[in-house]
Amino acid sequence: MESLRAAIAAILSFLTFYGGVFALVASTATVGIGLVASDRVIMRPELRLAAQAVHRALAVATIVFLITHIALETAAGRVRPVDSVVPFLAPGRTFYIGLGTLASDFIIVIAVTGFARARFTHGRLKPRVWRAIHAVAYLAWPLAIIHGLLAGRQPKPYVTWSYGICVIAVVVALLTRLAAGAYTRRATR
Amino acid sequence: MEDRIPAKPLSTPRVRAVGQPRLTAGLDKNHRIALPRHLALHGPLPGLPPGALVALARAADQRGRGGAAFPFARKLLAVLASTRPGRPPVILVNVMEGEPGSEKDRMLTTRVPHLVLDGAELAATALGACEIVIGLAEPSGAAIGSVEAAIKERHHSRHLPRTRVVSLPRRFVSGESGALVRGVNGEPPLPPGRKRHASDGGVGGRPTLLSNAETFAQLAVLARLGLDAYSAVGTASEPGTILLTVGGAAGTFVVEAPAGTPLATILGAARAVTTGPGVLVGGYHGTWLSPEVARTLEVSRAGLARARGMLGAGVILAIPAATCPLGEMARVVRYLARESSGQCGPCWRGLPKIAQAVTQLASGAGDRPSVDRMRQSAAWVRGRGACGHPDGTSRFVLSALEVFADDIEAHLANGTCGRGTLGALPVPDEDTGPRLLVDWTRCDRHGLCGKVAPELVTLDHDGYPIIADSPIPARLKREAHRAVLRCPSLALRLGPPPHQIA
Repeated sequence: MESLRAAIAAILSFLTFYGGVFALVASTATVGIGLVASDRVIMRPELRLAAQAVHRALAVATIVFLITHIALETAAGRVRPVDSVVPFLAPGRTFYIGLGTLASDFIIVIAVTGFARARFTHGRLKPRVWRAIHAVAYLAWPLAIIHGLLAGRQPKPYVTWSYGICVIAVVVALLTRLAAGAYTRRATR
Repeated sequence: MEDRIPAKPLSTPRVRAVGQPRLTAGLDKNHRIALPRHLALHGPLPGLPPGALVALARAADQRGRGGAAFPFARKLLAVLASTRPGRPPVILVNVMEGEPGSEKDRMLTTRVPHLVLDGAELAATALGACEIVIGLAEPSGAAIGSVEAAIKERHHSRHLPRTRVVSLPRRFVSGESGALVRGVNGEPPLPPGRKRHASDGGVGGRPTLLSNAETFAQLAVLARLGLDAYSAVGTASEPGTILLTVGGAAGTFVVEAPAGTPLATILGAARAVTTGPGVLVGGYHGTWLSPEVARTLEVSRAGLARARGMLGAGVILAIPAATCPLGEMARVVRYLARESSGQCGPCWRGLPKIAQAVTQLASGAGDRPSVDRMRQSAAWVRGRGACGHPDGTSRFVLSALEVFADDIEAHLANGTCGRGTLGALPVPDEDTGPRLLVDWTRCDRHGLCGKVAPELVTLDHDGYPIIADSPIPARLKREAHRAVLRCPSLALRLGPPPHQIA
C-alpha cells in the first residue's frame, strides 16, 4: 500500500516535471506532420493518408499531455483554476504563463473542431470556417513554444535551439505550401 | 357471398387470358372464387391413385412453375420412394414468390384459392400425406386471409388432411425450396449449405412434396380435364396454359396463355410496349432478349431455350424506350446484391462488385476495363452458392451486357445514352439514403477519396473523382464517411441527391 502510494507520487512528480515538455513536443510533431500530410509534390495519396493518421494520433497525445500539464500545475498550486482558461491573470510570470493559457484555449478549439470536421462539409458551417480555425494552430504553436521556454525552469541550450530549428522548418514548409498552392490553384478561386 | 374476403391487396394485378381461361376462369366476373362458385366452374375433384397421378403428370409433362421447371412426376415418384409406413409425407405449397416482378402465385392464392388447394389435396390423397402446408411471404396482401377462409370453407364439406398456413418474411432467396423448408421448420428461411431433396426429408424431416402454387393449380385442372382435353391447347411438348406476370408501361398484368403463344400477343394482352430496348423474360434471375428476338419469340420452355433464355417463374418485363436500360439494370443489380443472404462468400462479395460496376457504367463513370471486370465477376459467381441467386444474377447481367451493347458503347463514349432512369422495373426497398456528394468548387483533385473509398470513387484522367449518383450501400457507409473526413479540401459530404432538395 505504501509502495503503491510512493509509485503514484513518483509518477505524478514525473508528469509535473515533464507534462508540459511532452505537450510541447507532441504539438510540435502534430504541426510538422500536419504540414507534411498536406504536401502533394512528394507525397502519394497513400502516404498522405498515413501522415493524416499520425497527425490525428499526435493531436490526441497533445491534448492528453496538455490536460495533464494544466491539471498538475493547478494541483501543485502554481496557478489557480481560472488561469487554465483566462489568460494573463496568473501570479508570477503573468505574461509568459498567459501565453500558455492562450495557446491552450486555441488548441482546444482546434481539437474540438477537428473532431467535428465532417460537420463543416454540410449545413450552415462552411469549410472556409474550419480552415480558418485550423490555421490558428500556426499562431497557437509558437505561443506555446515561447511559453515553454520562458514560463518555467531555465531550458538547456539544445532545447532552445531545437525549437528554433523546428520553427524555421515549419515556416519554410508553410511558405512552400502557400507557394505550391498559389502555383496549382485555378484562376477562378 | 362471393367477395367475403375484404380485398386489401398488396397490389392488384389485372388478369387477362389469351384464349380460353383455365386457372383464371371466372375472374372476369368475380374478385374471389368461393367454394360453391369454384365447384360450379370446375366440377367435383376426382380422386386419383398414386400411379394414375404420376402417369398423368408425366404424360402432360407437368413441370414445376416456380422457376426450376423440375418434372412433377419425378417429384411424386421421389416422395413415394422415400415414404415409409408410419411416416406419411407432407405437401408443401410454395407461395413465397420472392421475385419482385412476380404476382401470379399470390394472385392465384388470393383469388382462386380452391384451385391451389385442390391440387394439394389431389397430391395429398394420392400420397397419403398427413399434412398440407402453405408457405406464404409477408406482406402478402389478402392472400393469407383468403387461403385461410378457403381452408375453413372446405373443412365444412369434406375430409382434408390438416392444412396450415406458414408466413415467412419476404426475401428474394426465401422461395428457394431448401430455404422454404427451413423456414417452415422454424429455422431461418435461408438456403441450406448442403442440398437435401425435400422428398428425402423436408417439413419435420418427413418426405415432402414441394411445388409452387401454380403447379398445384395446373394439376387440379389437368386431373379434371384429363390428358386429351388438357392438351387441346399449348404445344405438343408442352400442353396446357402458362401463367405469366407481365409488367409494362400499363402496369402489372397476370396473363394466362397457351404454351407457345407469341410473346408479342402476350405483351399486347398486357398493353405493354414492344418497342423498348429489350424484354426481360424469367424475372431478375432471367434473360434479357433483344427486340428482334422478342418479336419472334414463342413463350414456351422450348421457345425460350431457342432464344437461350428460360421462363423461370414466368415474369416478363418490358421496359419503355424512354428509360436508360443501364440505369434500370443498375437498380436491379443493386437490389439483387442487397438480397444476398450473406451466407456464401462469392455471392456476398461478388454481387456488390457487379452492382458497383454497373452503377458506375450507368452514371458515366465506367470504363472498358471495368465492364470487362464486371463480365468476369458475373461469370465467376456462377454455380458458387448454396442457391441459384449468384447464377440468376449472372444470367441477368451477362444477357443485359449483350442486349444493351449499343447503350454500353454510348455510356462509355459519352457518359450517357441521353435517357434518364425512369424506374420502370419494380424494385422493393429502393433506399433513398444519403449519397456521397462533391462540392466541385472546392475539389482540388487530391485523390485521397479514391484510396479511402475505392468502391465508391473512381478518379478520372485529371484525378477528379467520379462518384455514382446512387445511394451508398450499407456495407460502404463507413468508407463513405471516412472519405468525407479525409478530404483535404472538405469538398466531400453526405447528403440527399440534389433533385430531392426542395
